[in-house]
Amino acid sequence: MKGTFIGELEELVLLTSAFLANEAYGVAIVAEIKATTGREVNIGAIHTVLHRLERKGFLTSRLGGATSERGGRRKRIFSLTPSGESALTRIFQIRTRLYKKIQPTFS
Amino acid sequence: MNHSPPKWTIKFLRWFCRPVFLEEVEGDLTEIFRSRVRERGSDHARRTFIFDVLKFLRWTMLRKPDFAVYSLNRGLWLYNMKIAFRVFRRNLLHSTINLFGLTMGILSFIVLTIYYLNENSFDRFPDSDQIYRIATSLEDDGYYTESAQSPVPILPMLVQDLPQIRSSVRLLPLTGYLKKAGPLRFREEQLVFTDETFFEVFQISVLKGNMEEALTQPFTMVLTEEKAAQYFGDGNAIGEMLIFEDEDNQFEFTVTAVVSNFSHHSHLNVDFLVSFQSLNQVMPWHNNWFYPTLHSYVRLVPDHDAGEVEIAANRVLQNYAEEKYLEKSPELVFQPVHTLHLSSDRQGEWEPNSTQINVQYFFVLGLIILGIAMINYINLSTANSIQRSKEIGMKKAMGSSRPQLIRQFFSESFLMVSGSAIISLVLLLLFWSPFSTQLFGRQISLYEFLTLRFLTYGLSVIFLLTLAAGFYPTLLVSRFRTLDVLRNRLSGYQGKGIQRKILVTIQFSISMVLILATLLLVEQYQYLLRKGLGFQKEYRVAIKLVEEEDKKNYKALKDALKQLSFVDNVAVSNTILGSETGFYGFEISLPDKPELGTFEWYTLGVDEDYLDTYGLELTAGRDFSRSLATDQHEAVIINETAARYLGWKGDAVGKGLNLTIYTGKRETRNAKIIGVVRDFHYQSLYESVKPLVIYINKHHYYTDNLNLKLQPGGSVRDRINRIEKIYGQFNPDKPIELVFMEERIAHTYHRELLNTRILSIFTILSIFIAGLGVFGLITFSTHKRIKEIGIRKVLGASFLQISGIFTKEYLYLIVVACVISWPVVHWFSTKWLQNFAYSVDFGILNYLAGFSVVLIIGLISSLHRIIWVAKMNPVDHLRNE
Repeated sequence: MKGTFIGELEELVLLTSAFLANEAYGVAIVAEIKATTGREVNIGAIHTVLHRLERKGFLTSRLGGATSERGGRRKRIFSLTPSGESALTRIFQIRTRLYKKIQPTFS
Repeated sequence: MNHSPPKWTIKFLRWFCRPVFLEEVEGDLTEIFRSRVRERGSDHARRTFIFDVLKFLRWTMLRKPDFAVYSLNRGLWLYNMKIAFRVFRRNLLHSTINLFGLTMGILSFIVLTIYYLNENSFDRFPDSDQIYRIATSLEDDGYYTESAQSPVPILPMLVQDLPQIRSSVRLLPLTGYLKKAGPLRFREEQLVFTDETFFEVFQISVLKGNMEEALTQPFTMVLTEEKAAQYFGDGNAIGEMLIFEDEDNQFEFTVTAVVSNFSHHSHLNVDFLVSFQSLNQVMPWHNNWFYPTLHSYVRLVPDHDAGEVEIAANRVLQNYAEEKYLEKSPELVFQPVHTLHLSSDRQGEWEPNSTQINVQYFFVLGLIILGIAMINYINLSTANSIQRSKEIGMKKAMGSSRPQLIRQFFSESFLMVSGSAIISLVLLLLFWSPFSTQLFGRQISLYEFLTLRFLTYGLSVIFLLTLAAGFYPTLLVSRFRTLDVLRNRLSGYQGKGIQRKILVTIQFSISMVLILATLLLVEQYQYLLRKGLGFQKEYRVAIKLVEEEDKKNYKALKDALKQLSFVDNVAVSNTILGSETGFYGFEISLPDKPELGTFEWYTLGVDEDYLDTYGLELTAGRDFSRSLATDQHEAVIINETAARYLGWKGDAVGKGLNLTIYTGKRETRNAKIIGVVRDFHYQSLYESVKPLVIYINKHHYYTDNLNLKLQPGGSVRDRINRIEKIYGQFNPDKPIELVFMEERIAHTYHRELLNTRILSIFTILSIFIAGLGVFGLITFSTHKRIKEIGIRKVLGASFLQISGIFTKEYLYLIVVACVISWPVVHWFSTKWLQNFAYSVDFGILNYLAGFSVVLIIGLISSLHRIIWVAKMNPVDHLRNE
């Protein structure tokens, strides 16, 4: 089904957004991804992915507060929609099922 | 230290980024920039910032042009379409006229484009550029002649000496009767004697039989699919016999192969191919340098320059040709086969070809008509948009932006253009086949052109037209200021409507040029056909006598025909008038002018009734007379040109003239000139009249035709039946061959008539479209001046005065159009008429006629509106001030 497929970077961004909860916006996500995975992701790529996820209905966004650090510009804060949450659950279940087939002791 | 990102990158970002995303993106980038400055210093931060910005150049981030964003917005698009439909319905008359004009324009364009493409597609098969026809130019009897044909021995001679020729073929068409066993026979025009190498030069697919051996034996024959079906039905034609009959003999041919039909896109039109060796029996004397001549084609080895081969071929000709032929100073001309249809106009072509220039003119004509239709559309829709100013004002007041209005107007012009494109396509499919044959004189298959490519081009044309047509009205409307519109103060935008007047003047000028061109063509050809001939062609019919027996007994048939109540006179002749060839040139010498020696002039062998039958006038002397026995062998009548040529004006009568004719044997007549006949065009009217000698000839070798002078009126069908009945008494089993002189002359000028027909139809269309233009103009100006007219009426202006105001408006434009178009027409007409030896005087009266046509059209198209405005009640338009 079109729109429900989630790519690798998308999954990463989605998970990070879920983790960051009310602080999920571009720069924070880049920093978090770097902190957890050590991967340098370009901010442009993150924006594209965020908007794609929003269009697919996994994320929703609102404009948050402005800080002077940002030159007075507001952040766009992303948060998971129910369908985003269920997508993450589904991915987790699929992966777990597969891991268990390789190694039944995997929990 | 600079702690801010490079300014230009920010500017750039703001330019390309979608506005919705701009704030967050800019914010994120700034945040990252600041942290980089802290960590790695501002230089590094500034450098990486540039890359970060560039990495935002992604499709989702890009600002889309307004139109694209809009076009993705289906709802709005549909909304605009809906509005367009409603506008169409509300202004039904206006829109229908607009649609109709555009449809006509597009239709004309498509039709003429197809004609153009068709004419340009002749003989364009793969490697057609290696195939050449060898034509000859020579001096025949003192006249320079360009022939499409060449003598029989030329080709074998060239092939022997020129290695550049890969293969070659000769084609000699004969006309005769074909039959299977049994009495039923068919007259076939395209029975072509040809070498077995035919298939090496022309690639045509062989359906049945063996191509290699098909024409190697004498009396073998190859049929086209169509003819095979005609003679043998579905059965196998291979091995069957067909009998060819000419006047004296019968020959049996065996069918050895069936080929696919010859393409319509070829100058060659052949039904039967017969082996060349058969000629040894059919025409034992064929292998000479004079008669018959035939069509020669060569296929050159690739990469040889035809010009060089041509020079070499002429050298070979000079070295080996027969002495007597070389006296005509012949020259061989290599014509690329794919250029024949459009550029060859020689004697003895397979069929009359088109001319490049005409075909191009027609294509341009198509463009012009499309242009007129576009001008119309622009005029009508601007006029219309002024009337819709309230709607536009409301839209603006409700917050509609300029791009939105532009889109709305483009949607309307798109709807209009594509609507008329679809209608014209439907009309094309419905009426093409009957129409094209009528118009172009040949069947042109539409489906060959309705390809994917055609549709792609068509779509892009529609797109372009939409832009072109919608451009001006859109621009105008979107410029309106809301307040002005709502307060009905539009006069500032309308100006004096100068651009509209210019456009209408252009339309008028074009229409005027087309009208005058049509008039010129029609008049010139009418002149050629009617007045210029010098002999009567109406109610003149010729019967061809084919059989030897008939020719011998012509007198009995003639007397029988003369008994018919509607036949005034019957005369014998050896040639039918109005043909380019077919006149016999015989040797002449003059005892009074021995210095001229012996020379050849065209002759016409007739009997005593001939001059009367064709209404030929004598300027001096007398007609042949039955009561003078000497007239039979010792009298000739010459034409004025001949008399002039010999330096005799009125005193030619009584002079001696020795004529050597051929009546089974050479016969020299020592004759006297008994009369001089006023020049008449016995050949083409393109050429001036040549000297002619008319003599009495009743030898059956030359009693080829009976010419009938009928009384005017009466039923043609009935008359033909009665003539046929009498003919049938003499020839029970031969069909009669009748030639209607009027038709024959028309056939000679077939191409000219065709051109006239095409031009006149499209001229009518253009006049019509221009009429719509006037309508638009008047609608606009009446609307604009409605209050003024109201006040005038209140003050007592009469109906005539008011209609005068508006009539003046376009009258003035027509006069300007005349000033522009007349000199152009004058220049072209003078040039064109120089092509003719005899031309009509295209005087001021014609120009005035053109003027009145335009005037009347203008009047008719504006009448409705003018009457409306002159009759309106002033109160309706004055009270809401």
